[in-house]
Amino acid sequence: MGNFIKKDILILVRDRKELAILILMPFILIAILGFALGNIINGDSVTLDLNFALVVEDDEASGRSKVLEEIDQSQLPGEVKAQLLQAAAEIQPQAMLRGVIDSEKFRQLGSYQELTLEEGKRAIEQDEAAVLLIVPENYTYNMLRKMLLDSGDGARLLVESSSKYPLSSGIFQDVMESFSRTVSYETALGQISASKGQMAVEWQTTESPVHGGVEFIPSFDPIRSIQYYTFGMAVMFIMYAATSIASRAYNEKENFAFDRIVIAGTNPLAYLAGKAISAAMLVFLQLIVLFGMSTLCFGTFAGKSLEFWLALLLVMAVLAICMGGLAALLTTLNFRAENYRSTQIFGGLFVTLLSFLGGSFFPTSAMSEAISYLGGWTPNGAALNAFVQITQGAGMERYLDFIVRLLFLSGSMFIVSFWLFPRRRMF
Amino acid sequence: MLETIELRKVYKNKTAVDGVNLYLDPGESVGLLGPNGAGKSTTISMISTLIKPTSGDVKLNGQSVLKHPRIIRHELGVVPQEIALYQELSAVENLQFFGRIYGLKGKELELAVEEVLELVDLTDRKKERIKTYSGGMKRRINIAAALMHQPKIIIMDEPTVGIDPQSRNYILETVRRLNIEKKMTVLYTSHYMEEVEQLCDRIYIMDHGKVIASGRKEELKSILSAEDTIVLQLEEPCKELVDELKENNEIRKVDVDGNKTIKLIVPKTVNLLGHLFQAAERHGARIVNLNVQKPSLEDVFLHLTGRKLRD
Repeated sequence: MGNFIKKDILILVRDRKELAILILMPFILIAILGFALGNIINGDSVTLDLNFALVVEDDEASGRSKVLEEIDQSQLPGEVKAQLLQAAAEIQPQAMLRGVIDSEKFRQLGSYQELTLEEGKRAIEQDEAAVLLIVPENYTYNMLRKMLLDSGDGARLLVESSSKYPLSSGIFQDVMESFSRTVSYETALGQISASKGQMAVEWQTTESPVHGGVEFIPSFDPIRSIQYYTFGMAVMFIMYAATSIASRAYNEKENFAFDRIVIAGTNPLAYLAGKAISAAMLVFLQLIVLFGMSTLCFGTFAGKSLEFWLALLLVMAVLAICMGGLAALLTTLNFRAENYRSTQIFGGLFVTLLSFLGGSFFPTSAMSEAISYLGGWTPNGAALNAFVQITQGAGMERYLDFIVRLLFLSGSMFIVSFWLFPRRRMF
Repeated sequence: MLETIELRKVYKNKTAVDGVNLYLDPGESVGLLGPNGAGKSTTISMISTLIKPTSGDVKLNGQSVLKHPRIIRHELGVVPQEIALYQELSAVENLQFFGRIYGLKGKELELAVEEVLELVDLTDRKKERIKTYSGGMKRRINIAAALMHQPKIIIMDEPTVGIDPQSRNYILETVRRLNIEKKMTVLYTSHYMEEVEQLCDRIYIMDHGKVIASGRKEELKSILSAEDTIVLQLEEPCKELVDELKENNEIRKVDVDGNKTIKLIVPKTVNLLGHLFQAAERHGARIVNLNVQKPSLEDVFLHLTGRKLRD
């Protein structure tokens, strides 16, 4: 068996064209898609339909009057006090936030519904909303207090996200962090510079953010686009590796090398098993190279824990076995049909279709439920889901289902291919 | 040593091989001749255990290969018509791979590789990839791969197709050495009658799935011992003359080769020369050369099948 595996891998590794397809092309696509989506996040273009819920628990009027009262009771000079009272009456923290989420650019990204806290929690639990944005109690009070009196820790927004929409959540997080920075560093009201003996209110930047930032409730870590597309492209291009092994197997049949192997007394099923193992090893190697290159060049998985890498290796191994099954199945179909049609159709059409269904191009959560469900049952889709869950820091119970699916698909493909592999050439 | 008994293979409605009986004695070199579709490759595949016969048997030293396929696998080396090698691997890597599938390893494998490379005279280029080799060199490694396990019988399916005359001569010489020096039993199929004439002690002629003649070269030629082969060479092609000759009942076969050369097979008892010159004159054809030849195996084949070997 080792003889077959060594030969298959040597042949493939020496074929530069094949290597370019299996390694270089996905790597280029990871870079293009990963960074192109980065631009989307910056608001230059739109491709996502981000659906989120807004829950406002803050009473703006009450918060404002509390701040007005504190200013009024402060020991500040009269003129400064008057300026601050005017500013407190004019600044509207909730309106600033709504200015962002109601903006034209943000609307192109998606839409929101204003709900009660209970409704919002339910929407997240049932994956009806990708993100839940909570404006907590005393948001106005905390923000105005920090802005005008430099007192307290500032205001915080709370964001909860659904694990079903990792990419949307990531984008939302980026937008909210950008909003937080804008409020803190660019539009914050300055404080009165009493030390200079001036009575006028100055606007100045401050090192200490007046906006306390965005707090993400850690149900999972959001996934970055470069991480998503590293997985997306890898699970797509490993299917080409399986196709390539099957195609080369039929080459062997056509040029009678397979006959030589059978004449030597090798059981054809052992030959088929050799093809499956070669494909599995090649795919495992391909995944390691792609994830490694992506991490080295783009820092994709830099700093991840040992637990993360072990979980990733487990899914990679199961996925590689599944691709071994796929290679065996395609080899069998080619041998039965006595042509290359199976691998040609699979490589030319099915890889693209499965990649679309499995979410390699964009998350299936953006598609209909039926497509999303189907995608989860494709080998690439199941693996992609598992990879995403692992990256989000989910426990094994969250991605075990996808590993079971991969094992089920592997088993089915192995059974069918070994059952159907032509035996008429055997005595 | 090796024999086939009423070997038959039927694919759906088509009979590819129909009751073939042939035998090979130890150390013999036997030719299997036949046009495309004659059933040669199917017969070879059945002998080498690649295809299960519909009926009949293959016996090696009296034991049924059908019942015990393993007994022939280590005794037999097969050189397919195609270059059954891996183009991305070097000659050594290819030979090592095929050696290992026969269970060779370590020093034994190393020695076998060196020996077969020496036999086909490619030791100095052993590390180069097959895809960089010429057609003739690829054919030589194709033979070497079949010799790795030192088989007693070697079956060669048209091993000289598509190569230059020099490489062809080298391969023929290699086959002769295997047969004479290494005492290997050879079953050689070819489209080239002269190769078979040169290499083989006995010949089987197949057509439409059957063996239509067999025997030693002289025995086969004697099929035409009562006939002469007359070769006419004309200055210009003349269709009318050919048509008249074809209508002549005394002429067994008329074969036109390249428009200007006409080959006739006629009974020795018939004096045709006078008639030939008269006919040529009648149609304005000028005969520039005329030969009366002894029949060749090609003539025998033409006589038996009504077509040329490479039709």
